Formats: sequence, structure tokens, C-alpha cells
Amino acid sequence: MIVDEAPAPPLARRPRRSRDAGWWLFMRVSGVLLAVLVLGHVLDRFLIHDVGDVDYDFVARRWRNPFWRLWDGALLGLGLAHGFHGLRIVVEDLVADPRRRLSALAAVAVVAGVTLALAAITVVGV
Amino acid sequence: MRRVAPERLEVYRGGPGLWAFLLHRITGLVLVAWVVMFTVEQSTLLLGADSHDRFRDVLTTVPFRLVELAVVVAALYHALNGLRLVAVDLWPAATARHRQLLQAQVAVFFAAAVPAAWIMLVRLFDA
Repeated sequence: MIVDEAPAPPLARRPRRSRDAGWWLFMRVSGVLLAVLVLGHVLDRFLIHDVGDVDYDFVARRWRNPFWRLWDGALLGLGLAHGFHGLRIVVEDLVADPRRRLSALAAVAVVAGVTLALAAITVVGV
Repeated sequence: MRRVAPERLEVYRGGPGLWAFLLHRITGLVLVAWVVMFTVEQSTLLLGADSHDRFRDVLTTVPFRLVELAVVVAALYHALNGLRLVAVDLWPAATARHRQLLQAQVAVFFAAAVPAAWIMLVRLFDA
């Protein structure tokens, strides 16, 4: 490892190749949106109500209002996309061997897909 | 495609920026795990009121609620650090104020995390 060059900027801020330019933007846009979505969610669950009171009836009543269904859907959808893409970046940074990296990324993609599908079915179907 | 991260973190010569970055990653991983768990829990709603409520009874015990508290604190850190990153992305000149930004971030973090943790703990032990 050559150490006599200047240290690279933090990886979270290093510009990716242009193929990933969309992802770079997505992480930031979704991140800012999620900050609002999560803040509202936490205030609602822990301050306005009590998290212990959130049972099936609570959610069913909430989700009769499309606004809350959209909020929770966006929270889950954007959160999962943002989070799993972050996981992909971490895998690319830490796994050197190309074959191991491919398997790791494939595993991440599968778990991401399944979880996203589950979230979509839940928010739409309940 | 070669590995992106250097073999040794000492290359970055330490400093608060490195800790901020590491904590951002660690909280991120914690949050992903949490959101997956939360999705699975929400999906039990599809099984009807009884199943869901029974599942929740198991998951609203004290240890689990303490984990929730940790996740909320992690989300707070991750969001604040992320917003700082976006701010520097939008105004690159802000890098000159890097130290002050980090200090402000830490201050806001504790200003929000301590009351939040307090409220959550009070609620938890009242229940």
C-alpha cells in the first residue's frame, strides 16, 4: 500500500464513477427526506403516543388515512433503498476478492429485494 | 475493480473526521438491521390482529425497548452527520469550517439525544 500520497477524502464523500452518479444523488436526496420522515415517526411513536400502545388497531386506524400510509410507505421504501445501498458501499469498500465481493453483493441484493417486496405488500395490503 | 478502502485506517491520520465517518457507517449498519427487523414485524399485520399483537407483546419487553432507544440515538447521529455531509456537498467552502461543523453537530446531537433518551426511559419504566 503506497502511503506517500495525500490521504483520500472520507469515502462517504468521494465522488463515485459516473455510473454511480445517480446513486450519489439518491443517497443525499433520500437521506434528507428520511431525516424528516424518521423524525416525524419517532416523535409520533415515542412522544405523542407511547410505543407500547401501537397495536394492530392503532395501525389499522392510521392507515385508513392515505397520508399515513404514504408516510410509512415512503419511510420503509426510501429507508430500505438508502440503507441497502449504503450496505453495498460498505461491502465494496471492505471485500477485496472479486468473487467474494460478487457473492456478498448478490446476497445484499437478494435480502434487499425480499425485504422491499415484504414492505410493499404490507403497506399496500393491510 | 480494486478494493477502495486502504489496508490500514492509519492512512487517514485519525482525527475527528475519521471518527465521524466510522460512526456514520456503524450507525448505518445498525439502522439497516433495524429497518429489516421492523419490516418483518410490520408484515405480521398481514396475519391479522391476534398474531400481530402477540408478536408485539414479545417485542415490547424491556430489553427490546432499550434496543429501540439505542436505535433512535443511532438514527439521530446518522441523520445529523448525513446532513452535515450534504451541507458540505452543497457548499464546499464550508470545509474551511470543518471543525466548527463537527462541534456543532456533536452539540446538537447531545442536546437532542439526552432529552429523547430521558423521555423514552421514563416512559419505559412507567409502563
